[in-house]
Amino acid sequence: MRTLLGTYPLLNRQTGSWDDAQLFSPISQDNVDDFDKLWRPEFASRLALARSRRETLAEANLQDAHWDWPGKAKDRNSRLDWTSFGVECDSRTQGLMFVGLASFAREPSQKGDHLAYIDLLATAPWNRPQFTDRPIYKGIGPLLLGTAISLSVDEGFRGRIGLHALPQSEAWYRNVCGMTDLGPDPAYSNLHYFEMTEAQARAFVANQHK
Amino acid sequence: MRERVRGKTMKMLITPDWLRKRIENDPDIEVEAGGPAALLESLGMFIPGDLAPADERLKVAFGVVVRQLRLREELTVAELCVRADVPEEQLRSIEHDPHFKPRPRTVYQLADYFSVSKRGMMKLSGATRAFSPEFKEAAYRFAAKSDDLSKLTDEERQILNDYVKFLNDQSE
Repeated sequence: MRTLLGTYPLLNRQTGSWDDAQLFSPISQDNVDDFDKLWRPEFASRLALARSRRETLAEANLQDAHWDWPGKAKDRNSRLDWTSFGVECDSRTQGLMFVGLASFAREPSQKGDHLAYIDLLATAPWNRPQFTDRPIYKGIGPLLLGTAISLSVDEGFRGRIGLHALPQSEAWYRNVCGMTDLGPDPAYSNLHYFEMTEAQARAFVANQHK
Repeated sequence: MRERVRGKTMKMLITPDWLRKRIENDPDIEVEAGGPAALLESLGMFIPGDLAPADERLKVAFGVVVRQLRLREELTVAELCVRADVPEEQLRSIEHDPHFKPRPRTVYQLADYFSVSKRGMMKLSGATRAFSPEFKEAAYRFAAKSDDLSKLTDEERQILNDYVKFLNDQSE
């Protein structure tokens, strides 16, 4: 059953206002429909623009445009080792995340311990600073990452999380979130693999900002 | 705040005030995590999900095309897998199981090896739903005309070649 986990503020960069967003779990058919009907056309038009400008997918923040969200939602909503989350605001899906609960840590201090693995984390294309000159909502990343930490703690994983960051997002996970960069993962297209330890998770959800 | 997630309780450790402060203090940079679109750049297309029922007749045609292309080259399954760098179990499933959903990379590798339109093969494999009625009809006709024989007859070879030409002529 779909559950409202909370209402959180997002900053509308265009108006300067704080708009209420709802955090749900799991992802619903409405989220899937938004991805198909709202996100995908944005990706398609931006891809054409990127080509005309000779930009790379990373420069246009389009590397995740292929993500099979509808398929993943369908497959994983019935599985207990996966949890999904959707952020809705202004009657549209603004962010999506899948978290796996059957992964183990690699970072030396916690190697072999269970962690929550963020398989996919994405904001809507119109919220991405590298995707559009006029991005709309800010705050979906920390909201989803804080949610993943909450899930990890709730599962008894003490806040431990892991993820593979897209190249344009490495700085956020390394410098802003304080996660440990374990370097490129040859088994995952050489994306950098990041982990958050219990102490790092505690620092992230505390009111400590760099 | 305590809410229910899939039948169990989950306590959110972050508050609206916490998020507001983070937004005010965090730099405005990208946050995406997950796999890169290795195929997207070369294919120039999206790989949509398949919540809509798959067209099994198209996938039958895909399996027949792959099998006949392999026979045309007089390759065993194992030989083709080595040359095209695809997993053997994937190739066997493609040829024999219309319910099987091949990985995009496998489709890409096979199309590349046989020099057949990657876009056309992706459509045929069910990786994308963006196809015209003409595309479907051609696939159905091809599959109907092609017997599952261990060697291609001259007629089957001609039908296969004509169909490959049709696939290669496919535009967006």
